[in-house]
Amino acid sequence: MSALIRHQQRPVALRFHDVFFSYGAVDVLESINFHFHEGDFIVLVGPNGAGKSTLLKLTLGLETPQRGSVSVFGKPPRDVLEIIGYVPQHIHYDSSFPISVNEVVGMGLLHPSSRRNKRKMQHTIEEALAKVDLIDLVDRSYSALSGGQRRRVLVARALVSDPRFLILDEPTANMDVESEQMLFKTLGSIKGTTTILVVTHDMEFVSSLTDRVLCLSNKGNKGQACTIVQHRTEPAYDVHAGFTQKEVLKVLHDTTLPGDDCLAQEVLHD
Amino acid sequence: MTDFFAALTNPSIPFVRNALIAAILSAILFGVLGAIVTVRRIAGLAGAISHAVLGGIGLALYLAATGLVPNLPPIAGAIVFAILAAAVIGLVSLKAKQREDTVINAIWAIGMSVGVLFMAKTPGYTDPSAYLFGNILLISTRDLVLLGILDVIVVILAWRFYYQIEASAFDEEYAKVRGIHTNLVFFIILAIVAIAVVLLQTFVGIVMVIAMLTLPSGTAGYTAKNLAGMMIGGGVYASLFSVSGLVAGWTFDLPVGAMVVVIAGAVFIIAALIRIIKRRNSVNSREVSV
Repeated sequence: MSALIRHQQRPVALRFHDVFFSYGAVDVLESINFHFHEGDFIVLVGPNGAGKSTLLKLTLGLETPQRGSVSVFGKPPRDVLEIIGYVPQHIHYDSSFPISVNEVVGMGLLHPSSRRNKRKMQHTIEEALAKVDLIDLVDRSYSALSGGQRRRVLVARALVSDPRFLILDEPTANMDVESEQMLFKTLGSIKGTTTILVVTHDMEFVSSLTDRVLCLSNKGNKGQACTIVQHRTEPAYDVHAGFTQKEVLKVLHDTTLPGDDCLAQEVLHD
Repeated sequence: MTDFFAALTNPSIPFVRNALIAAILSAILFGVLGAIVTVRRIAGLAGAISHAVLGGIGLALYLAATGLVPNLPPIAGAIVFAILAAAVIGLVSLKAKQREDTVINAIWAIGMSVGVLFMAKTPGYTDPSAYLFGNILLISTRDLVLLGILDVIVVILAWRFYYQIEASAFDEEYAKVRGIHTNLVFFIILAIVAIAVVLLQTFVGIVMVIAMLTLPSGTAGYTAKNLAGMMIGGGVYASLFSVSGLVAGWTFDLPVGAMVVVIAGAVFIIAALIRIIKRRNSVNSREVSV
């Protein structure tokens, strides 16, 4: 139990308290209650259209809930953006935009109004690119990269500020096997020291790095909006290890854990 | 050609020297703002603002000529209409993106029509084409001072907030996550483009401002490695196009604004063709090696 107590004593990284959100007349999220602690590796699963992107926008302060509250390390998201690293699912990227890998990664060090010191930042940018094994492409044009390489550049952009909380939206979408392996190796190396939230539409299997699985499912009172439930996982020995090069975990959708209880999963695992 | 350079040094015809200075000062704005307009893909917005300006010019001419507001300069009406058009287009672009296209075209057409109507009712003869196509040889010292001030403001802002401008244009959502007020950046860009359009229309005219905001930076974009390279390259191309258009227009007695845009368009098309041929050759050579 001591490990659980230590876990509970860590600061709460993200808390959704009774959150309701709608786009006009369309209810998207309802009665969202969950939290997790610093250092956790959380996977949020849900089918397409369940509201995963909306939940991320609320976490990043890009949207505000109509009811309830969202806090990141106890503060409103907009007040702590500098500690968040974010890897979007895709960017509305214009292939004719002239920009180098170096400059894209440098965006992760951007402050709202000040100019950055280019020389000072260069070392940090190269360190982040080394983490995703793309150091050789630092001066390459971003548009000249493959889809998988671009995703890794976006991961480097999120890691360059050494974030306390890393959020990845569908990180393996359009990734080749090599890039997937590299990504999970990188995530494995920062697991425990950085809080990680991975959002994926893969409802069945998650990486073995995962501590808890949250699922967005259609259980709102009106039958429209989605809410969060927690599911147990178990090792899926019969499934090919694939990208993680370790065992993957199978999400047990028939077992629902108490809503906002961060200990239940670990008690069951014990 | 000799005539132009003789005219340039002739103290009795200072307007040729003013025209050359205006060409260089305009090129700085075309380079910096043109690159931003191109990468943000807001050339349509800039086009609507530039055409709405004619409404302001027409209104100012009417008010001044009828004595309702004596001595009201056309540039005052132009600035008011440009800022209003920028504000409406900016709000629609942010709040009702699906209506953006309709609103842009409505402002474009209504602005021009209002200008033509006011000019028709203005006592004395007023030719809308003078404003539509501009005349660099009519540029005044006051215009040069205003262009110079705007150049300084634009260059300082572009240097100071370069990374915020770049991030907002490349990945707006991520820029917001980094705490950048992307809507404010957008409105400031629109406002500066609106003011620049008012000053620049004196040079190439309302119709062709938009061509000079896109063609030099588009040409530079073929070889630029980043936004800064596009701004500098666009500025160099714009000054080359402007000066050569001015010399050719003077030499062959042709409208300078139209001459500048024709040269800019020709170079842009040639650059595009070279790029297509190069790409095709590189694809073919890859296929051969495979």
